Amino acid sequence: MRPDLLARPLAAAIAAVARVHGLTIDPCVEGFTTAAEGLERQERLCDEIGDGCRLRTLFWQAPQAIIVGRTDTRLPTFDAAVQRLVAENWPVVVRRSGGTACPISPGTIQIALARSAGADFAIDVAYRELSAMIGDALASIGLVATIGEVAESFCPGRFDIQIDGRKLGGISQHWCERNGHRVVTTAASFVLAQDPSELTRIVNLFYESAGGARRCPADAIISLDLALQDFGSKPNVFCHSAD
Amino acid sequence: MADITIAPDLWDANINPEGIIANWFYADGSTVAAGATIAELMVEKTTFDIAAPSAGILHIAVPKDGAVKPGTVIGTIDAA
Repeated sequence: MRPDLLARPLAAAIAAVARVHGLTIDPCVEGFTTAAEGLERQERLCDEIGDGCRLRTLFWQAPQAIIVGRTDTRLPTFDAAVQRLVAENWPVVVRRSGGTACPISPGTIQIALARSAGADFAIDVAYRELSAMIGDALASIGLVATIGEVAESFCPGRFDIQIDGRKLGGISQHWCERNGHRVVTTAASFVLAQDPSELTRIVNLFYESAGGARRCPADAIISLDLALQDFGSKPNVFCHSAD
Repeated sequence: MADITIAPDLWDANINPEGIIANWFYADGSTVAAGATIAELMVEKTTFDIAAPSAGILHIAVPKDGAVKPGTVIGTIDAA
């Protein structure tokens, strides 16, 4: 399925769920000409938080790139890996939120939520907020997602969004002070319609070229497209409790 | 002298006992401005910008890649 046909309904479903939680989110999906531009826009969201604006969101898509964490830049042959991936038409972009390498492409969507974080708004609260919104949005189209680390996936984390043990999306965070507020930007990357084996191939090529040990099997990842196909192929089963 | 302290409530140490100093953006002995982002802390997939609590000369106590817990003093700033 064309990724844009999945991106807009997913963004709308997340916005609808957010509204139930009292948050107003613009479901518009922005397209960028490069991943670096999209990431820069995402990382500037925090600058807009202040007394008059407590929440900013961004749904975005961009051409293919691999977005790595700063720790990845310290791998023994990182520069050689960048050259290798550029030769494969997968530019490497460094993000400031945590985690390891994550590929994006027109077949993925990125979701960022920047908000003012009060004293009682901790790391896990912010993770749960976005993961719950995505999980509820998936439930509204019949998919049951669970939250938990898919250890073999790329960029694994405790708040991975998974279906049947395969990672559909991952979440990272960046905290900073802006305009007198403590601001947290929680960002998810979500596979819509991209062959998981191509995504894992490029991540594995990056780590192999950079001298890193991390590897990711293709079956650790699932796309929304595949999850929907799988869901559609199952017979309807209705359970009725007679007590 | 001002301590650069990891806020005691920044994360739940029962879930993640330690974070690491992922980066110092200024060298030891540098002059820094109050509020400047001087270091980056990483806990799992979360990064935190650490701001200078005052202006002055930076003295680093916990080096890059050093492990820290909530409440750790990672450095100090002496008035210039």
